[in-house]
Amino acid sequence: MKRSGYIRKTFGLILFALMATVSCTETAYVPATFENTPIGNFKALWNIMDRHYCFFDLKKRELGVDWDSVYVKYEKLIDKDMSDLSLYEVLNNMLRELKDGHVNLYGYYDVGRNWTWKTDYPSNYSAEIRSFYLGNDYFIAAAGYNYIILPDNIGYMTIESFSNVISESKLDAIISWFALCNGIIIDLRENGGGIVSEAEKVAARFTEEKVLAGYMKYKTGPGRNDFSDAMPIYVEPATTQLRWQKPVALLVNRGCFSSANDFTVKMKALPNVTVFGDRTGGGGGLPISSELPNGWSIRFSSAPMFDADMNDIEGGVDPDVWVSLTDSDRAKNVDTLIETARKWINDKIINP
Amino acid sequence: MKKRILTTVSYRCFKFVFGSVAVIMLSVPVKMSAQETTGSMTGVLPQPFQVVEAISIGTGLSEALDEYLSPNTYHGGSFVFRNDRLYCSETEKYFRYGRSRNSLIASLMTNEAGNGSQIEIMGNMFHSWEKPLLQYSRYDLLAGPSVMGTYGVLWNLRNSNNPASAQGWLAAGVGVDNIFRFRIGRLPVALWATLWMPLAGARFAVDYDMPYYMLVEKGLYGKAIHFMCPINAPTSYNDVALLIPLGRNQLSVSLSADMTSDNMGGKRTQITHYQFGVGYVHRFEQKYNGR
Repeated sequence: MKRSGYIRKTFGLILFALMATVSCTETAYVPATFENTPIGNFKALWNIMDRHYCFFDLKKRELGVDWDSVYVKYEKLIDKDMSDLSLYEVLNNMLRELKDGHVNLYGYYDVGRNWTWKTDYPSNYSAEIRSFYLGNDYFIAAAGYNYIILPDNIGYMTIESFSNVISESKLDAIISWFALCNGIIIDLRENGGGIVSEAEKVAARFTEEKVLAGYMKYKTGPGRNDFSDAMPIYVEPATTQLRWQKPVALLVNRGCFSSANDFTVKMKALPNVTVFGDRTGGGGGLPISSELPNGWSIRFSSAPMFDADMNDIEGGVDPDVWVSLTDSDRAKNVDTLIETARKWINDKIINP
Repeated sequence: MKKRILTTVSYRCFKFVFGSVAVIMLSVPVKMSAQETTGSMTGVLPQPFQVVEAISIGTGLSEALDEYLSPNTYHGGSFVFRNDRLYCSETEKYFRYGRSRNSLIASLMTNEAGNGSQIEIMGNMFHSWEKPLLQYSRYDLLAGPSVMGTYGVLWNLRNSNNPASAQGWLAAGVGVDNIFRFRIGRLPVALWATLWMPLAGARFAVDYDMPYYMLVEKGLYGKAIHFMCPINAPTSYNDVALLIPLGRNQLSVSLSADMTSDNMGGKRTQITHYQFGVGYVHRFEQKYNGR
């Protein structure tokens, strides 16, 4: 009986040790959480941005935004009894200081945003005028991918968004349809972005060789300058699908943001592509999401992207040829950008 | 707010109940008979060339913090399917017992504000080679080296650009099995407690805010694979099962608690499960050791 007692005690001790292992290790990492109060949510937001946002240096240089001063400025506006709506307004205004289209606060009432990258500039675009070029018989390859052959044997296609997935076979269909054309005009205007890999997929149809298109860094720690080395980004030719080798005119405006901005960088690096229009809207940081203690969601730029010359593309990409939609052309329902691109392609036939 | 309180309270209640049941199981009044039965008859230990297999399903609560997805901790319910095996090799002199576990856990969790949700799917594959360290008529302690692997994903349903966090590690560690045989009244039962703990290995953990896009583009650039040990990744799997005779087989009623965590790449991950499971245990002959 004594031995049985010993066994029970031994087993009990070992079992206790097993259970204690979990209990102890569970508290090994106590997260640095903030309380779900107005000041807690304010501090959480400021800290999340402070640790993860990637453009503080750029915003300070270009806009004079000092994130530490922002804290002092907005902390004064936080009151423990303030309503959710008031808190939302204060937090949203704090984020707007950064003037970054990739910074959004998703609250109960609204999606906080900054669209000044687009709204503060002329659009150089008219949907109505574009519809005259497309007519009624244009083809639709996928949502936003409309295409038609213009009378002077130039292919014209729109890419209204990269949020929609287009299959490789449909891209093949577009290129096949344009096979006898002298060149292609890709109208990217008002493309607000979407999936980066979609932009890559399309760009891969317009190069015959691997081309350095830009660089990217990512944050490696909570410090504002904790970044990895710049890693090269290449456009690699689509290997098993059709590729376009004749001239390409890419039309851009301030409405080209995020993935469309990235697409412009990639296309601009290709030898047979010329970019026409205005500077793109920017959005050169790959965004990520996080959340506040009250559950409001936050999205912001976290990984900065650069062009092949290591220029920051957060503020947009300049075209090769600056073109604006003129009032006189607008009055005649003529799109200055399309006409300029058509002339460039037609000139290429005469003077390749 | 109400939902948040309920989630937190229910999680804490479950942990309390879990601990209480474990204590109760330890203090079950045990009657020691003069004629003690051998382990192979009522307990767990297999005879040479035998395999004892326990198949169980369970449910419980999960808690997950993954700073790549969110700085907030998510709580929720989980479901687990588990297959445990213990086989005996007569030819192996030193590590006579082989022990393995394959399990799959699925969890659905929400944040404390109740307006965000996260899915977890996690698989475990463990194997250890165990030596009998203590052997009495009522009690066996087996322990030995193990190879452990975990793979899975945490999916945050409202994150757009960083929706998922891949989880995975492969490590060498220890496996410990305690088997205690006793009677409740005239019913011979066994208590089988297990601990698995990885000690050194490799764990997948992307650097801080490294986008998975870059992983796809660049392969394993930067530090996506880290050395793991109990200091930077305290991890353990514990469970206690009460085995009750059921015809020629046994019914198992188990409580398990596991925690995987890491503090790598400048961010933290911690996933905990507390589960209650039921299953059945049977034994069968194998021509070759455990295969």
